[in-house]
Amino acid sequence: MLSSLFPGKSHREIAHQILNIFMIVTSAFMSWKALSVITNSESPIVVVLSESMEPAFHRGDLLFLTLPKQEPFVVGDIVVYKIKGQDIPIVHRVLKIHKENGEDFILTKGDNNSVDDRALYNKDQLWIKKSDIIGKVKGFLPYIGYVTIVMSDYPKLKYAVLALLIILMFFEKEEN
Amino acid sequence: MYSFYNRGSTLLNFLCTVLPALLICLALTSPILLKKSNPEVNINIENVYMKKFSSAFKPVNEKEAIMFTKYIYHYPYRNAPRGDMALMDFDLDADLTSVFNWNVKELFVYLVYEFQKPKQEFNQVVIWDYIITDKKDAHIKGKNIESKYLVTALDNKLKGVQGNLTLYWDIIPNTGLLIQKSKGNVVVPITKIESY
Repeated sequence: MLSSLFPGKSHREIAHQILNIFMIVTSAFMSWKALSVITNSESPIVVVLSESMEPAFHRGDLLFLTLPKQEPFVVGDIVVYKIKGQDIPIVHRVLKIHKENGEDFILTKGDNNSVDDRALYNKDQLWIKKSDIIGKVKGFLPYIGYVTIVMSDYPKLKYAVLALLIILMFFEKEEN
Repeated sequence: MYSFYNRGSTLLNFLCTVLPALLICLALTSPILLKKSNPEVNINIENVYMKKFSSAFKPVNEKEAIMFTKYIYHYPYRNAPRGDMALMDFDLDADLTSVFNWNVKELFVYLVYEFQKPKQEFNQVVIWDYIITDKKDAHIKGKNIESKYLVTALDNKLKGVQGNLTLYWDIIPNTGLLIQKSKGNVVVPITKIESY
């Protein structure tokens, strides 16, 4: 059946192409996870989705995060946090920190927002803790992430690009 | 041999090697250029206003009304608890012009009040911040600037707190690593809290 889809190719060639695609997918996944282990952050690279940190970060900018175990949080750090029960991670700056018995009580605020983030936290929540934080912003690369915003805004485009990539991979001729 | 697909692929390949290399070079110049900078910072405290908030709190002047509003905003969707708050007026003369170089997109300048308490060993509160995106605006000179954010404590008690005021700035690059620096130090005691 497969050979009728790809005329002029042997079964071995088709199997080779399929394995190649799996190789690309798994190595991408492996490097992502390796980066995650090195930086100690569950999501070491994030794309800015909101305008709350303008003019420092715009929509589509790429941020590189780390979360070293020994490094304490200080005021002014830009952190990415996720409130329990909410899906979307937020990139904001630390406005207040109080430490009691080694535990951090952190309040954040977006540079472009007029008030602090308590309105974004859960109803009974005044502070965020270390466990809510995914990482500290350490590096910055502009615009690159805009591709992913376009992709998630137009899901059809995402599938079209994926399909095109797979088709191209199949019809790629190896020149030795 | 030289199909449209091949040419496109070569061009993309070239772009994907040269552009990152250039960006890395740009990012690497940042720390070197920053070493040459010599920022000057002078902080002077004009006034410290201290109040205890309670639901019976009636502001009697403009300053107290500002503090009242800020305190209420600090507790959305709920009644604000009783607690101490402090607001400061300060003079600032900070020349950060030399910090600017070609890989600086923005300076986020902020004043931090840092204090210790018997139970909370480490407390940091931002009292004022300022965004600079142009080298021409990098010399901040202000008299009697009112702080934007209140000083508050985790247990809502500020009596007898002796803190330090320091100017920090966060350098956001065009591309590369974010860098945090600080300078200047003034001791600001919060001596008495008027209660109602």
